[in-house]
Amino acid sequence: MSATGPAATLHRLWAVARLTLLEAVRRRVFVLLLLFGAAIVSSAAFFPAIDAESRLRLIEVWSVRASLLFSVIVSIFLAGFSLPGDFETRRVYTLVTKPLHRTTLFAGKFVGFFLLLAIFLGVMAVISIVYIRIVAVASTDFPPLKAEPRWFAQGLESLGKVVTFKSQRGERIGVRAGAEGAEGALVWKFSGLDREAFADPMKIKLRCNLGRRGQQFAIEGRIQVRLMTPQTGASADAIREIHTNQETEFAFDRALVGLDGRLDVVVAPAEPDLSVDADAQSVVLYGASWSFEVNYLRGMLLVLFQSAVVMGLTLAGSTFLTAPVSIVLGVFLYIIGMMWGNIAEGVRDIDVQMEHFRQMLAQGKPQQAYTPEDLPPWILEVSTAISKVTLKAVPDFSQYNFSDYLLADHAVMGRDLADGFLNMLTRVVVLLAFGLVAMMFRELAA
Amino acid sequence: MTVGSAEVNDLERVIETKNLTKVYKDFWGRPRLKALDALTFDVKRGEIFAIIGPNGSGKTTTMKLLLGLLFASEGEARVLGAPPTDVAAKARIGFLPEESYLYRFLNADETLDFYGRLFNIDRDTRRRRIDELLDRFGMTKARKRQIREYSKGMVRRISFAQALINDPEVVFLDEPTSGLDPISQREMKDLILELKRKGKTVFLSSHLLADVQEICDRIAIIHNGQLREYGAVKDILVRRDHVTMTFRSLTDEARVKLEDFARQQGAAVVESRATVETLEDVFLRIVKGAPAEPGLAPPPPKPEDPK
Repeated sequence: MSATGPAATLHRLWAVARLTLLEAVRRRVFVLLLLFGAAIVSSAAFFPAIDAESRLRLIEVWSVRASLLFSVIVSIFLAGFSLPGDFETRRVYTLVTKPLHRTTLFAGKFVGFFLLLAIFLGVMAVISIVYIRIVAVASTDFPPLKAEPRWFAQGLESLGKVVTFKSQRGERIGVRAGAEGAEGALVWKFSGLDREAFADPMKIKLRCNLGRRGQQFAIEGRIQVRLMTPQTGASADAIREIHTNQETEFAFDRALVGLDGRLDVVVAPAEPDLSVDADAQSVVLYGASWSFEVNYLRGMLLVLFQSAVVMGLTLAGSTFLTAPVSIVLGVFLYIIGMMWGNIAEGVRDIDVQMEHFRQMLAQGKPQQAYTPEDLPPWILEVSTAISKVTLKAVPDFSQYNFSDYLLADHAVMGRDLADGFLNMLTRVVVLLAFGLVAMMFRELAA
Repeated sequence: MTVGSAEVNDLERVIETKNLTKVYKDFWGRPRLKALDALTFDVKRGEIFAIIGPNGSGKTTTMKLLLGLLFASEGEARVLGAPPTDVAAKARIGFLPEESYLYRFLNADETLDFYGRLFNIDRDTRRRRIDELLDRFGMTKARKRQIREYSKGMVRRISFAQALINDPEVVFLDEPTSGLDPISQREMKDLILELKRKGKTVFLSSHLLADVQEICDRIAIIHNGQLREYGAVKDILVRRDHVTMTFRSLTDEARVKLEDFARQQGAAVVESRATVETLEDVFLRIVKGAPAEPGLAPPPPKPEDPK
């Protein structure tokens, strides 16, 4: 029997986490949630759908959103009531008078709820997958269930004469064609690829903007796409008519992927006066489809990460706030996370307007210096400053939106999980630290 | 009556407080209530020590400070030589709260297993200890029933069992006999005496003065957060100004002379045997005339103070 040391602390942490899981099971919260979850997933059968493809998408989105909603409910309500419940019923007296540090109690609760969420989402995933498979077997024209991995270029380079310009989403570079042909080309550099990971022929998708001399945009135009193996110099070309800002699919021999894992994709305008501009994300390589089931489980990890952030804040808040206030805090975080993109866009717009406002004042043109809705500038400055801090603190929940992946048949890649995990981890670590400090200094009895 | 013959005066101090003060504050950090005022006492190894006082006197606050549930505003408390929040020291103590704050969805087995895990007790020892405790408290047959199904007495027994799961050196008991029927109260007292016989130190708070008088070696009486009396029960119960003298072979003449002599000394001869009060008498004498509400009010005048 050891009182101190990391092993003893972990042992106690696990004891608390285990109790948290057991409580959820014994109070039948877990079973009820699963029953409701299963009922919601299966209710998709009653939704109208024009064809099998629509039905698949409906079920996919419905099942993921049901899982997400229920995991958020679990995160907010169970975590929100747990510690305050221990304080109010004074169960905490029999806990912290044992060799259980207050911080271990808090961390144990977090681990317990995290595991609870993981189990809940895992079971929901199994229910959803089984349901989708049953519907697929029962339908005659159900589309294949796919999960295609995607790779983006490590960098975008250019050859010849280049035009660069900035957009709201970053820098784009473009090349033009003169009367004699292309004056330059865009080159997407891929590396670290595995030829065997691609179907044959391999699928490539390209989305870029087109323009013409004297016109800012062109609706359509002809471009040349060349795949080159840097290691051997082997290449293949395709010339296609494409539409501006629309995804166009190309098929190439997968043998063009070098054995060293490198591949260059070169794009140039293929008709006079046409210009093409793009960014590093404009070309995507698609691999052979992964297992739909495995991908679904990976997608549930994204949902788990999102719920963990919400749960972390609710639990940390409950160390010093009442249960209802902690729950409101969790709901607030969820709403901000879901609206992250809208808030970020609003902040960008206000920044642009304020820049214009300052420039006009600097140029001595106060009559042209106006703010949106004529609000006093300081209000906009303060609100955007608060919004920027909030955006730093709260992760963009769109990165955890697994239904987007399902709707596009995209696989959840390791990098997606890593990004989501890191974004979750940084927030959770801060929240845990906050909760741990609050637990250390709060009095546990009145 | 005190139990055991060990002389505790020179033994190791397992609980110590020095000027222990607790001021409860309001939301804005302003002093709201002074619950404890410079409390200084110690508890020695192997003794049964009770802290007694009326409701709101500061008994529970003292216990919570000793258990690390509250933080002292001033002064210090040490349990087994360490601050009350020390995890290593907590591995050597047991605590029975006034109410049984247990997880009602667990059964007796799971409850003791959970608390055993918090002490990092290995599985085999834990199983053996659980069996022993359930047997000791007569709960073996009910071990698989959830605590929500237990009677109050059964819950109390499991609550006591969890306090002993680690075979503690020091046991804190907050109102151990409250709410129990007379038979259960007797069992509880026997158990406390059994702990003493095993060399454990018992620190308890209680309203039941007869019980305290029966089983405790030393006591501290607090009122309005202040220590009013502190020492061995047998010493506190003796009134030094009220003496009973017993003589053998005393002649009437000698008795008259002794009584005359006593009267000459200003004494009223009532009887010659030292009067032994009940603890209840001592307790009421100490707190009589004090304000009903504890707090920041000045302490009441002591009985010997001239009015």
